[in-house]
Order: sequence, then structure tokens, then C-alpha cells
Amino acid sequence: MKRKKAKQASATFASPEIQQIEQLLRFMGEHNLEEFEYSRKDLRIRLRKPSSSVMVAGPRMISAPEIIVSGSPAAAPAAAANPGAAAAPAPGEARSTEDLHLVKSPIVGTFYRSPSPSSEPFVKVETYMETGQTLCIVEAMKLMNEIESDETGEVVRIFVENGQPVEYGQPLFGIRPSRKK
Amino acid sequence: MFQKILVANRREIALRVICACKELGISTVAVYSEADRNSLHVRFADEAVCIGPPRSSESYLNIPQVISAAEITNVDAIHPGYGFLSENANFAKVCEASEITFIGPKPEIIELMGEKDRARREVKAAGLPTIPGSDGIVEGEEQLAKEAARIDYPLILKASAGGGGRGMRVVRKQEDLLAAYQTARSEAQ
Repeated sequence: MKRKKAKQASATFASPEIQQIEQLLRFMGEHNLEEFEYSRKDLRIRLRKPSSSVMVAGPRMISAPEIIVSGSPAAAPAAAANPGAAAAPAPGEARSTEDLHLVKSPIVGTFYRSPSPSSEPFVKVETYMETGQTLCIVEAMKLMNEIESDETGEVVRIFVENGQPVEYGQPLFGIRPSRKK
Repeated sequence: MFQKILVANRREIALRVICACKELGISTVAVYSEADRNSLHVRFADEAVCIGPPRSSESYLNIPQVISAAEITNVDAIHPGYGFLSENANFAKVCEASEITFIGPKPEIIELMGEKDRARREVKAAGLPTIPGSDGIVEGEEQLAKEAARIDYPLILKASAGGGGRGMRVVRKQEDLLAAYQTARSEAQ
């Protein structure tokens, strides 16, 4: 991954303007930079283009140029959070999944929603789950491992497509727990 | 030449292998535990797969997880780096059975070299020079005293099991011999 700091662009950043950001993007293009970071006192600019590297887990792919311009130093560390720390859902998803219980993959393997290609999936969105009921299969080394629900409630989200590879700790299902406990 | 390999190690060991692969134009897959999510090797590799919780026995040493990661990323080979699974004959066998090349010695050779006394015997039999020492395993304190007197000090005691530096003791004078023998023994267990 290329990561260089450009020093020649200097004092003009006192009030960042769209034009200047555009200039920067051109600069990145010219020099084939994937990432650009500039900070001086409490100003911090970070630009990143979609990386050519491919992460295995679908949701962590960086899909759009990311522009972070933060005025206060306090906001900077948050903005600097590493993109690699991304098994967590994207910010947009986070809001809708806040109250959900996430069932995460306990193993690395291939995710299957049904016991065989021709049969019905174990669960669909809106299926009501009891703890211990089978949610899906994760195949690892040709072994079909049934993944059971560790929560009782309604399946609200299914994060992974049938047949996709999953890694350890990757969210598979979002379950809205029933409140009767 | 391989198209794509998985590096079954972490941090600077994995980085070293990843950099070599970049030079050779080989794609790389990193594996990591939850504790190493932000490590450099994860960012430098072309792909990365989380294989378990922070404990290495459940991640970097967990053979099924590593093999699974290799299968879902469709690699030709696994480079174990050093430490972790690099001297695990069983892992080399599982790689073979899974039709993934293990970049390292054959399982039989790993097994042979893991047993220190057998390794020494085989190397001697092959006519290679070895450092002077006892002929085979020293059994009991009496034989130990005899061998120590013959070899003379300083000498080093090495347990036939152990590994990773455990079970090794340098002895500089006769008075320390028995104590060192006991600690080397208990350490290697």
C-alpha cells in the first residue's frame, strides 16, 4: 500500500476549500497516491481512494473516496480509526443494528443458508428463533458446521450472501431479542 | 511459481514474508487474531482473514482455522514463517492432505528434527559434523556425572523434548551440574 506524505502543499490550508481538495485529488492522481494525510495544529485532512487491495469480508470494502476534514483535535483520533478495524458494520448500518443481537461466525469457512443447495434456507428475515435452533452452516475443511442461535427472537438481518466466505467473528445474523425474559 | 500464498504468522515475521512475495509478484493473504486486527501485516497483505480470538492456541495455532482461511481465499501454498506451526509435522501433513503446498520441510523431516537425540544420530550417520557431546540420551545422574567429566566444562544440557529454548541449561562448573539437570528436566515437561 502506498502511503506518502506530501510536504510541498503547505500554508494554503488555513481554510480548506472545495477547490483545494479537488487540487489535492488531482495531485493524488498524478502521483498515484492512494492515501494522503496532512495535519498542522488543529487542522487535519485525510484523503483516501478506493484501495486496489481486496479484503475478504464484503462489508469492509472501501467503496468511495473518504474525505475527513476535522477542525477540532478531539475529533481527529476518531477520524484516524484504522479502516482495518472493520468487522464492525459500516456507520450507516450501525444505527439500524444497535439493538440487535449479532450472531457472529465462530469459525472461518463458507457460509450456507440451507442444508443442501436444493433445500429451503434454515431461516429467513422475520423467522422467529429459539436459542439452540440452527441458523446456517459454515463449511470448513469439508465439514458442515451447523451454527446455532444463541438468542431467542426475530431474525431481522442476514449480513452474508449464501456461498460467501466468512472469517472469524464476522456478523452473520442480526436478531431482535424478544423481551419476555 | 505460486500465484498466491497464505502467511500463517503475524507481525514482523509475516511482514518479512509478505515483502518477499511482493518482490516476486505473488499475492498474499494474512491471517490475524482479534488482538492483531490493526497490525501492519494485516494492512500490507492483499487479503486478510480473521481466524480467531487473541489466544494463539485458538488462532495462529488452530490448524482447522488456518486451513479454512487458505481454502476460502484459494491459495496455492502456506508459508508458516517461524515459530507457531512452522515445526508442526501434523500441520504439514494436513496441508498435504488439503492439497495446499506447505512451504517448509516434509512432515517426516520435521518429526525427525524435533526429536533431538534422533536428529543427532541421523546427522552423524549421514557423515555431517556435529558438536562433541554424549552419544545419545543421558540416563540418570550417574551417567550424567561421567559424561560431564569426559566432555569437561563449560557444557550445555539439552532436554530431548522441550523446544523454543526450554529445557536448555549452560553449566560452567561441576557444582552446578545436578541443579541444572533438574531444572532442565522440569522445564521441558
